[in-house]
Amino acid sequence: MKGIVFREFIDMVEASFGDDMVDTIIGACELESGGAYSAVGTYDHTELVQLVVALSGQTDIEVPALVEAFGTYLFGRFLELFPVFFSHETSFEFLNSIHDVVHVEVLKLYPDAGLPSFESTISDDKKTLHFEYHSSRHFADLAVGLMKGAFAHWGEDVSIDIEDRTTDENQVVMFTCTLND
Amino acid sequence: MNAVDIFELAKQAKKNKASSNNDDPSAVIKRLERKVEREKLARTTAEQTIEESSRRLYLANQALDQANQQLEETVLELNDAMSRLTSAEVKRQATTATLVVALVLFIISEFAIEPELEKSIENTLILQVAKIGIFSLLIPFEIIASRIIESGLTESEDINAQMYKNLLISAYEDGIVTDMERAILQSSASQLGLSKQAAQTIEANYLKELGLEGATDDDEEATVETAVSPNPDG
Repeated sequence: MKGIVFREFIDMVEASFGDDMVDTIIGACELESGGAYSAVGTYDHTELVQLVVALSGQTDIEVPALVEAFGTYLFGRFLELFPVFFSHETSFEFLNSIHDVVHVEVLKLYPDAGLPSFESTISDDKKTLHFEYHSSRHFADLAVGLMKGAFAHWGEDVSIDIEDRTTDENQVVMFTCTLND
Repeated sequence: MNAVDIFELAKQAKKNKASSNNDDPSAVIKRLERKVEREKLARTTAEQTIEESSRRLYLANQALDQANQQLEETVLELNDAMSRLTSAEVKRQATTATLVVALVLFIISEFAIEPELEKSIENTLILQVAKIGIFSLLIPFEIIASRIIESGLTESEDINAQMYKNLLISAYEDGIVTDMERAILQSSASQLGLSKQAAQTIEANYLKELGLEGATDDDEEATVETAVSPNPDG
């Protein structure tokens, strides 16, 4: 997993819980990197899992809630760092472009990035988005957070229906997002 | 569905749990020291990553340069082969012209001059000498006529101009005339015996055919791309 995600996670924990919490959770984990992350590096994604679990242990907040909250935080950061990708008129258009546009650009910068894959379709009336998430890293909650960040950014009221279609190898989740009038 | 705000979660967590902040100065210093160590380590690994990326970029660049050079050599070889083909085509046409001249002279000699000689000269020996004399007179005439025609063909700019236009079509095919293509066009014009002005005229005419009359070097790339694109919507 790319270092930028780790950096953002550490920054988020520091900003919301304080730098002592960062020190505590890094100290509580056995991290190959020693908790020293740079945005251009690549690290084992299980280190992020360890950090989230440690944070959950320290704060008594459920892991899925923390991962989802991180997704929403990450959306805001990506918006600040890469505004060029967010010129769409609706969140559905943006989400529909992630796999074919955003990920293509990400791979130009980080050819070794292991990205999740998405298959998405928007209904003819543009009120429903079917968004299927495939990943071996099991970060569907992060995807939910990112989607919620997108809906908030475009000021849309959207319901998400989640259907787990996970296989032995991959986490597969079908999100059906419906725009509420 | 509302987004989960990490700061709200943090506030709630702090309310639910007594603060475990350790404000002891020595503990704070140790924590900050560990943070500095992590930052240093992160910087070192980032520098290593960047160095490795730079090295890979340099090697990739070198490989590209090498491929470019090989491509340039191949194009020059192709260009040379094309010149030889052009030359062979001119020679073939010249040979045909020479044969036509020889045939015409043979017909004149056989059916116009010789019957007249046979009518006016009765002595066989003198007749044979006269025939040889006429044949000898025709040989230089044939040589001169063939050379004039051959020279006309070789100097004719039609074939060379057509070859140069073919090169222009290839160069403009992808919509962009690269520096290398421009260099090849210039060297080809020289090899085909076209003056700079003649080459420019052929190119200007070709651009006119493409509907790009008056395109300058600066806007050429963009306009050519639009003009030669087979189907911009497709």
